[in-house]
Amino acid sequence: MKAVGKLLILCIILFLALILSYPIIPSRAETTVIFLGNHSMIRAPVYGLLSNVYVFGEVQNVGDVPVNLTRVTVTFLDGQGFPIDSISRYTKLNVILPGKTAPFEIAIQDSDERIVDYSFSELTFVATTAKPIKLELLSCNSYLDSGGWMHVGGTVKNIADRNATYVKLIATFYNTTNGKVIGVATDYANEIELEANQTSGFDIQVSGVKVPATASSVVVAESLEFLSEMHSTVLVDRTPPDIVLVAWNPQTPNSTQQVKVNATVVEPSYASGVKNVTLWYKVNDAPFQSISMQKQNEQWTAVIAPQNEGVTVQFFIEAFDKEQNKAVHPSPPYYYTVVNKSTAPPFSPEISIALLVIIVIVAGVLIKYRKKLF
Amino acid sequence: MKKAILVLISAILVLTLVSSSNAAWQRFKGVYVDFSYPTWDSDMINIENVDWQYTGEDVYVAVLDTGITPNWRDYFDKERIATEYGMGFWQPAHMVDPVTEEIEFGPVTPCSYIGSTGTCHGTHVASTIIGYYYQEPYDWAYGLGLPPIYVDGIAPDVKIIPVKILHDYHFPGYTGPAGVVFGTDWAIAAGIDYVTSLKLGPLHDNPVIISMSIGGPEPDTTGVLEQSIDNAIAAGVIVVAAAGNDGLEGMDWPGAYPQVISVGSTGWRYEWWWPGDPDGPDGPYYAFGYRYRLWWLQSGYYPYIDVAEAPDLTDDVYVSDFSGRENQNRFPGYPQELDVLAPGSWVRGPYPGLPGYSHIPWWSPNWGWLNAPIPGNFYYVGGTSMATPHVSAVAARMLEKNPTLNQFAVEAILESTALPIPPGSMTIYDAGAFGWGWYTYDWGGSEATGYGLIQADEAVDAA
Repeated sequence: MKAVGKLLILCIILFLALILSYPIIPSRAETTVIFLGNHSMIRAPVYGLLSNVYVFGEVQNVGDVPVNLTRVTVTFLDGQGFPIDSISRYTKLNVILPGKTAPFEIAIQDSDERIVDYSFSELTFVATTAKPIKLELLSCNSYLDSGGWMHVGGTVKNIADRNATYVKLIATFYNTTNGKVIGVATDYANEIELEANQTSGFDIQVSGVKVPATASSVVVAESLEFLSEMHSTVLVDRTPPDIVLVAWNPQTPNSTQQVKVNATVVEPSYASGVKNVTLWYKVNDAPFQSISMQKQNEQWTAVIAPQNEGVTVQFFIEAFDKEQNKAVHPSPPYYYTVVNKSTAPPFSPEISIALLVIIVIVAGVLIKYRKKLF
Repeated sequence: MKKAILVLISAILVLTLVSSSNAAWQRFKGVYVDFSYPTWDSDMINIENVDWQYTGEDVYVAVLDTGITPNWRDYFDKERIATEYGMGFWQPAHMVDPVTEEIEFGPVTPCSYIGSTGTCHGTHVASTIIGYYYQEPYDWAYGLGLPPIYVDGIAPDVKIIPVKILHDYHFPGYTGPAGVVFGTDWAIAAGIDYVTSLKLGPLHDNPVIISMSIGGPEPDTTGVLEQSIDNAIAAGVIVVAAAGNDGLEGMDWPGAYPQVISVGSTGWRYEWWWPGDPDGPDGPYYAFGYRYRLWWLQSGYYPYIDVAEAPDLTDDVYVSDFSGRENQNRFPGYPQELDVLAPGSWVRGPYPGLPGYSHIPWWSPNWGWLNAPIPGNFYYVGGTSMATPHVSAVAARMLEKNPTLNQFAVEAILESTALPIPPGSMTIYDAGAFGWGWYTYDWGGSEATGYGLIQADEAVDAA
């Protein structure tokens, strides 16, 4: 029995040691790339009787390590769902860092217009040890040329301490209504080789489909020197933040109550992130004044001070992302009118909930200690 | 897997002479210009003696090239570019296997006729045909009071149809798994087919010329490109193409196809000489002074050397070393035929966005370091690319006079009126393989010269 006891103790020690040592055992790196749901198919004429079909979309590296040679296979289907052809293409961005997305474009000539649908057949990729090279997009702007084709132009700078050659610019265009990818443009910076701190202009354009001027876009720069363990992903976000939910409390304040305004502001996964949010409000016809909103648990909050009875307060939210894209909501602004103190509800819902919580806690304490007390 | 070749552009040498950006440009552009200037290359083909009744009016020249630069209005009048017919095609390349690096091509894809800021070859080619507005603030800085001018085109009233069939000029054909390609036979064929459709449609009553300052070292063995050329010629389109810049290695295609009017390059002995030097044009003297900055103009504003008339001109003409010679062994089964020569050694014109400059479209405020409202750069470029538009433009003036001329009639007139260039050699001051210096160029017989240097006055007279 003693031996069994010692063995049991040993097992317990080993078990504890295993648990304690777990954090220092290297975890196996995850390598996973997934399709995002924002893909789309667009038919576009070449000219005359010729017609092409384009499938645009994005994949995202949801793993822990960079991947390259990410290859998407699309099967084009006819009206009965039968496959017509399958085409594989690499994503436009060669190396996809963890968490990042990469667009793809797959085109097929279909002058007979047999293609009505598509499906994704395969997604392959290879883990890589690519390292980022420091490129910076100094400016970026999109425009339609006189032929109605979308361009993105700007300036890119090599801020690394070594040369970068064939800096590629990749622009992904999104439908601002539904977020779907509706075009991809790829081209190279004007300079073939960028020395350290050197800048280059670029002007890339969408081919195949005509992207509307209302499309939002994201531009990424990449040096082909990732093959020698250099790689760059620099994001320029042209998508404004989305102010999805605004609430204020109390809804109908009296002259002694301040109003707390909460706003939920989000950015798409590919975008740069929310930088600051401002509450603009005005009392009657006075000019708008601003209050910087504070971030609290993914919500942005600001407080409007108590106002005189009978006045109308209008307010709206303004949000900027890290690329200075601006969103305003709502238009026209929200408003509330300050009421007489006696007509205002005695407690706001928050106070009511707080009182209820206090009552429950006190009741619990009383129940627990009733024997001692009585 | 479709067989396709990467197409190399003809221009081989590009040097920066000057660049410009000046806000004052807008005040006179297209409104008034006191002086318009001919150039050494126009003088060389006797443009000054062509009946100015025929300037290329109502003739369309489709420049199949890199498109036109986004700021083309800095250089051309709006009426000279037929944007309503502008079009682009390209065919992206894709890697099939990263190990074998096998490449396949996607479908020919439509795109804009506007090139990127890195693709100004087509703009330069177009400028030779219709001329361009020129202002050079560096000249002012050097004390040269040259007012803003218009540099004459060979056929100033032609309408250019920009057809972009080549992608970025200065990038290799293929750059990475996602792929980009410079140009393919199929994209060029699509461009030719498109122009043919215009000729058969809205431009049925107008003469239409295809000018291709492009070429590759192999013919399209699928026959698609040659068939498109044949269809264009059958529809009444005149097809002109560069002989290529491979020198003794041979001509490039599509210029080498016998049915195409192919163009080699010549230079002029005195192109870089300083007139008025005590040694005169017979002495070896290169000017670094004012003349250097305005060397390509032929006007009374500054001293210049007049180009001699035929037959004395033959003593001053050399065949560029890069100009493609007929080589019947270059690709067996595909004979080569060189037709005529035109000036192509160094031709000045708009060339914004050359490496070293970030040329931002003028309508995009505050872009890049060139923030002038209308920036613009000019460069001199050499190649059969530059010779080709001279021939296309002369053909346009012929066709204005006689719209019934077909491909073979135009070719026959250009050849019969050309100035024969005998075999020879010449030592000239030039920007060659070792920089500025004295170079001796030699050339043989008709395989290098074709029927000789075109003479515009005689060709238009004979049309």
